[in-house]
Amino acid sequence: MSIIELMTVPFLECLILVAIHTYLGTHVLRRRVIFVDLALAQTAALGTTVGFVFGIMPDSLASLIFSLVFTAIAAAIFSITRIRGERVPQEAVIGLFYAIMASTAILVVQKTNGAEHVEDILVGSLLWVQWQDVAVAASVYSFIGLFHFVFRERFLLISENPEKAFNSGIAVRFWDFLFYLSFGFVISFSVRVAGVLLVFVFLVAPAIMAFMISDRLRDQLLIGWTMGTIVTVLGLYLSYSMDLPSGPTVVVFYGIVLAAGASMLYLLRAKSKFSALVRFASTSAVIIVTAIAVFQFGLLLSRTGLARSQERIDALAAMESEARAQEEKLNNFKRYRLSELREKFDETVPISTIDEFAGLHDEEERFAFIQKTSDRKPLVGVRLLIYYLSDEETPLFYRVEALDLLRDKTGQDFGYIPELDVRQNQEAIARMREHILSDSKKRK
Amino acid sequence: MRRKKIIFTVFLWHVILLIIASGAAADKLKVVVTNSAYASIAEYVGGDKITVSYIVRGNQDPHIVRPKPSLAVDLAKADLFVATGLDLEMWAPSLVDMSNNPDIRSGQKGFVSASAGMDILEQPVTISRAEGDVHIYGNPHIHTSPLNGKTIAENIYTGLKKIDPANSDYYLSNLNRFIQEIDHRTFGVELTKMIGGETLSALARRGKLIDFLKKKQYKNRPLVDFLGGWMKKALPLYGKKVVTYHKNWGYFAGLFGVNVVDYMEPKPGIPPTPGHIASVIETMRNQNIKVMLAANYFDVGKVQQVAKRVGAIPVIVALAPGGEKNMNSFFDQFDIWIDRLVKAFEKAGSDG
Repeated sequence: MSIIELMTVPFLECLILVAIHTYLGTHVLRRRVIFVDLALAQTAALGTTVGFVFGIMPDSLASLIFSLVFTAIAAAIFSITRIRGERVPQEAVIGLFYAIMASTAILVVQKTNGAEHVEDILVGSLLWVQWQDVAVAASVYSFIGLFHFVFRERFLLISENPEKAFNSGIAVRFWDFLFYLSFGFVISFSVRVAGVLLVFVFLVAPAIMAFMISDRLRDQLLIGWTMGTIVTVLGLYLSYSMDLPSGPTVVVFYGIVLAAGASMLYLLRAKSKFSALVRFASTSAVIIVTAIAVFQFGLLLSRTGLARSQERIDALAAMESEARAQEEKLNNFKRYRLSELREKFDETVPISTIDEFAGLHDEEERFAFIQKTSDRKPLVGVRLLIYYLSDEETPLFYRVEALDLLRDKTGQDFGYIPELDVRQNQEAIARMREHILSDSKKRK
Repeated sequence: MRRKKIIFTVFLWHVILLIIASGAAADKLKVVVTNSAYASIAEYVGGDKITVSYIVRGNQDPHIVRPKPSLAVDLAKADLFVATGLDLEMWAPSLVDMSNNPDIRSGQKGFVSASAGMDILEQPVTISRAEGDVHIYGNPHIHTSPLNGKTIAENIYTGLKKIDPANSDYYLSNLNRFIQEIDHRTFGVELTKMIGGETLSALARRGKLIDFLKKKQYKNRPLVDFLGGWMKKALPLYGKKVVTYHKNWGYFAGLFGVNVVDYMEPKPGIPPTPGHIASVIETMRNQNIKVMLAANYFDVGKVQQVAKRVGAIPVIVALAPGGEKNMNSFFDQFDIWIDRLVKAFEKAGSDG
């Protein structure tokens, strides 16, 4: 199983995601509606979840259509809530929307068995992408990409300078709706695969990097695509080689690369390279020292008594002691009671032998014990055998075995028939007991 | 006049309903269990003297239960609470706290640990949770073996006897009936009569049953000819290799001789990672493993994908009663699990 075989499809999927999301990300940053992606993603996921309650399987076409309907409604809400000269920032509305959608999804999931499904909404299941998914995503994204390319100037104007767009007589709300709708389409597809977190990162991380370097859309796209591709490849490789979940690995790796990139840019652009270098070095030192301090503090805290949740430990310990107490009581279910068994034998059989016999758990052990005893002390063994044959709880197979052994030791079977029950064998058992008596008399 | 009549009728209905409701529930003990399999066993042992409700449905993850107010309300009225007793249900202690019912705290007479007195598999040598959700007391999915069912029933019996000594004879006769039914269903009526359920179970627990039955003879026929029940149905599974998602099936596999070679989870409770899945796929190819087994509360798609890659047959089943159609009792579990696995291996055999 090579890395190529396992990771090719996830990798291609990531490339497609990077391509469309980087572009959309440049719009999102211009519009300053960063969380719109999270909100739309969560709405799409809610659509899938609600559909599941109706019995629509999450990976079916119906489920996709259903989640697109949810997304369209959200798109309408976002385009309406864009108010000119707003008092409440639209970002606040979008953030609130996200929280409500996420909570609703958790409530809806209560009705199904989808605890893991909720986690998948966040983290995604990039590792599990299939060829069909990639093909569908590629065609849908190209269609939307084409749509945006055709109307690129209009979309750019509204994103960059909405006031001017309003004044020039463009139906801004309508175009906003189209923007959010197409955006929602993309998100509906990508969230199923990559999860809310990774989609968010694909959207803003390459765009942020591009914005730091250039103001022109074309350059921004080129920078974003390059960076996105490289980081994704490395992130997926890290995930494979260190055996970590793919989505979260790529997300964290993006964060690290962004921080490194920002520092580099800062150094390159500084007028006084020396003082910039000093500042960079000192900031890095502070970060490293803080990290070490936090690590040590955690280590220290974990060693104190404060770190343990005492209640839980008590509860578990109590369960354990209860388990042991019940184990002792279970001995009541054993077949033989010692006091009763001791009365069944005469003084020929030592009490220690009886006790050992009573403590055995099953017929295999009992029969093996009788065999061993009759090899060493035939007199005791025969008495055990006769008792064993006269006990109605001895199962058929062991009566056969015991009778064979008795025949071996005494040369006769006393007319005992294992297939009959103990009452029908009464006479045979009486003959066995007589045999013991006459045998011991002879010995005397 | 007519109005008075209506009021009177309504009143009368209320009285009647109240009497029915109180009569039905008043003199019955309320037993709450965590796992739906325990509910099935408790119903058998408690009979018409108890009402049983359970917390985890058969298609839910028993490790994770989000505390809901209704659960605490249910526990508040419980006379007996049956939990696994290992660390499977980490949520149980806090739920009991929420219920404010001191009688069902662990250690009190209203608490039953279903796993008491059981040989627990996979007990780790060093105790630590550092490796993820490793169960520090060993494998807690005890209800996947019918033989463990007998111990669970004994534990529930012990609990019922403590809180309701007056009916202990009734519970004991139900318990004995249950134990006999398990033996009959596991080994068949004939073999149980010949060897005894206790001995068969002991041999099976030691993993020596099949060898024993093949070696020993009765009337010149090997004892295995007399085998019936689930063990006979599962004979085609003996020694067969499977990959499972989580360590759900340890006891089941141990009893029926199924060889669980690997798990899709790298560690219990940790979702599959790329490197681990790659190694699982490689193992399955190298050892020619053709059947996968997973509980239906996991992401079915993931199991199906790995199965598709290596040409294996995924067997997706509910982990406990109530988790899928026709799995309504503790007994149904084994019928369905064995049935599906045997069919899968037949299909895999005919394909290969």
